[in-house]
Amino acid sequence: MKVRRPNLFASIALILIFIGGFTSNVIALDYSIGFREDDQLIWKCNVCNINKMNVLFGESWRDAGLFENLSQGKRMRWDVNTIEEDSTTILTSVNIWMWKNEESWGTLDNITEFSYLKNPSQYPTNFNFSTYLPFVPFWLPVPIGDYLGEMKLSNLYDVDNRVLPTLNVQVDKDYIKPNTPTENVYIIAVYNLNGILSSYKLYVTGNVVVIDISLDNIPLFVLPSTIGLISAFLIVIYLYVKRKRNI
Amino acid sequence: MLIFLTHKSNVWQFIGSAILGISIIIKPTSIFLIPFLLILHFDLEKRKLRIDFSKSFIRIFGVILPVLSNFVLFAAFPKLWEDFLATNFTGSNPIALNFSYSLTKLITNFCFLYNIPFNQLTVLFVSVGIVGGIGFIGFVLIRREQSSILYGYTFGILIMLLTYFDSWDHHLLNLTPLLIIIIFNLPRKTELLNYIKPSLFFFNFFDILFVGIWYLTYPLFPYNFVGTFFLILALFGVIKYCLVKKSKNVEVSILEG
Repeated sequence: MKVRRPNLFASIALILIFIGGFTSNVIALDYSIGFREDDQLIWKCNVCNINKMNVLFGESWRDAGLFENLSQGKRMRWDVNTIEEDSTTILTSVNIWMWKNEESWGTLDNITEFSYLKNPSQYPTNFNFSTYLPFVPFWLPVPIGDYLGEMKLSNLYDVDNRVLPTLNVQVDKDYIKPNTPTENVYIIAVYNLNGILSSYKLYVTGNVVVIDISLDNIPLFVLPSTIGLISAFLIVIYLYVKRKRNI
Repeated sequence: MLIFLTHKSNVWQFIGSAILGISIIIKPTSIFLIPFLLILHFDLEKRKLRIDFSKSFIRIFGVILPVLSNFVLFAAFPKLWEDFLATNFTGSNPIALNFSYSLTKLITNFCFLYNIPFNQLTVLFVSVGIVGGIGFIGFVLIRREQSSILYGYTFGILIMLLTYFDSWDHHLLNLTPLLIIIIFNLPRKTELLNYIKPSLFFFNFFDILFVGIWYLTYPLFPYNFVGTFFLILALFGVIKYCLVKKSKNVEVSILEG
């Protein structure tokens, strides 16, 4: 049988395929935790300008919370105890060793439970993770981009999922209380695909970094990939130039 | 570009510029094409600068007119203007790590990784000043005026890709057709093809691969530098085309085929 107007039919078929592609994305995501029980997470503080932080937030900023005793070179360790999930909540309990310089961790400082709603759209409008330091969570459910995208966060936050799951925070002067912080403060928190905070930078105008925290363990593939990339690039350029000179 | 090449009358020059202006409204990636609409030429042999004021004015007016209509919206919704500036220039988006292959991004990624204080606008303006300046000087000194608009367009897109914070793969769609036309415009055996062809080949077949590799290396090495290398190579090729003396190979006009 000869098909009349094949281009028209092909166009309609393509449109239907595209529509099918879009509709197949509209499914309820099942959010979960990107790490497992007994996993160990260690963050390292690469930069901490204590004097500047004292000026910005007052001297009590490192008395409690996740920034307790924070200073440059120190590390914080989390050991995941338990993970529980039900139809509405994701809950995890972690042993925390707060920021330490020593090689031996010693006894743990506290056991903390973190929980999230399974359905991020159930969080209230203008939701804040925290109205004080560090302003962002150290982990989030996965897939993290979709989870952040569904939350109705306050104006404090700007979610950027284009390349890496990122939370941009702008804390305006006097946001916490009059004269705290003493000037506008910005935070860029980047998460890895497991929903774990991989980089936290708190900075002030002029991109002057005041606090820089990063996940201590870089994935195994990063170093060989980097060396491979640079070597392959140099070899290809060398061979190309050599071939052209010989012609 | 076809209009500029085929119709020399002032009305068509205006129409061509207005169409370019409309394209800038839709996606401002071609904004750096505007200076290359000027009909400005410095003859190196005669040491003489020649400017076609009337045509240059018509072209610039034609392109600016649709772009200015944006400012009506910005005036009506001031928040739109603030968000536009924040998203594109002053906010956290230009600072955050990404796989853009622009020179500006390589610099800001370096500063971000090593906590070096920087001002993203200063980095942008310096990059535009240096790369744009070199490109514009090359364009003004062009020795072959026949298809200069083609090379002007290519300069504009190359400067944008090398200097704007977010130069991503899909932006290459602005560049690759121009490189293809340049390949047909150049003599078949010219040495200049050694710069253009590898770049076109890389942008078409390999650039996306390096975006994937960036995800493997970014915690240690957040630089998608290979694309930058080929952009610089293409820019070098076009500048060389503008500056070298005419070879004995007779070049064909784009329109003659």
